[in-house]
Amino acid sequence: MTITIALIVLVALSFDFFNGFHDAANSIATVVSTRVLTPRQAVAWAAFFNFAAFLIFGTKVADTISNVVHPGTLTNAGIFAALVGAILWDIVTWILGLPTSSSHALVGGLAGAAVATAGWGTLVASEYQKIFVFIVLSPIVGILLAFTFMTAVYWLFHRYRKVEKLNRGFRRGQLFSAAAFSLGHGGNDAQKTMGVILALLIANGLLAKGSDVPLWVVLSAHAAIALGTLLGGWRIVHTMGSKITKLQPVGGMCAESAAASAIWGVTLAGIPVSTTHTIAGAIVGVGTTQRLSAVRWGVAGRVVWAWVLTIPGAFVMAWLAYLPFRGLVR
Amino acid sequence: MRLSRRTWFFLAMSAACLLLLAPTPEKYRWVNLSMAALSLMWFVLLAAEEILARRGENRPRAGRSHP
Repeated sequence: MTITIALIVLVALSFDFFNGFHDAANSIATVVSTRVLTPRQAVAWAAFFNFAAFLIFGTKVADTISNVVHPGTLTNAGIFAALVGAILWDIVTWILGLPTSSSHALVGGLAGAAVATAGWGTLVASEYQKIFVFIVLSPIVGILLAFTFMTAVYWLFHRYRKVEKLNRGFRRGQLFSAAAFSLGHGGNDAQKTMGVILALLIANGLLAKGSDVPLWVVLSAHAAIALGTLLGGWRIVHTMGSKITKLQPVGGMCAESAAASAIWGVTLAGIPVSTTHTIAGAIVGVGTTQRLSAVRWGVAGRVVWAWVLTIPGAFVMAWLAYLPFRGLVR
Repeated sequence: MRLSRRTWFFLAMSAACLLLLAPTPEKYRWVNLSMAALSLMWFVLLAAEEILARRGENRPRAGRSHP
């Protein structure tokens, strides 16, 4: 029993590691594409702030994730299958170079495993409703805030003639915006794994229903995501940083600041959102300040399709993973 | 008066935020409303800028006589 729980916790932390590996590339894509930091410096910078996020955010997102399925319905096999489904989906999309959302893969995986375990009635509709609404809203918020920030910067500095000095300032500013974004990313994404581990501990009677997330879970989740970021995936950095629209330091700074503002807000409100969605929306928002055709809508559309497919894809993978595991993991 | 695709894009985003009002839990509706308002503001400002710029282009320039 204890070995099984330890094994599932390990798988959950590997998911977190893959999340860092897969998603964290987004937080440093703009800072690398504008050459403010070298790839090696950028991953170290992002990993540090991913870990430091535990000092700032609570565990509201973890509570939401642990409540997407009625407490007590997911067995150890179900939680294991949910994680395997989400990890498999992440690996497939990573190979294809698509910036899909690990968060939604986890939500889809949990749903697939719960339905395979005890039917559709196990899903908590209100929690899923909240998540689905913010799947659409988070990129819109990213677009609008980034467009607003970028326009404000243009408006404030358009008479300033010392372009070199200005660019240096924006490059420095990007260090802070990348740090803010990485904090938000660590805060929101690490909590999703905490939610899964919390559900596991409650399901096995190791914690009472409604308990807070233990400190060892908080620290290990943040450490896993930071480690994943440190070994990050470069395919997705390329897609996010240069394929959607060409970025200058000022654009990178505005995109990251907009995405960070949005993610900080939803994390404090306890809503699990995709950091990928939000930064992609923010990059589109920056591109839109030039003209709509500055955004490569073909690439952006491919990314949107990957988003649409993530929850059903992870759902099916977790469902299939549950079948062999239901007899093996108890 | 024809407006650019970018301007219509902001109106479409405002409409999307309002369409999402119904499924959004009441606690978070302020997000939809504030984003819809921001998007609508950009639609109005961009439309006004385009209309004024086009009027300026159509106006005969001072000091030049028409052929």
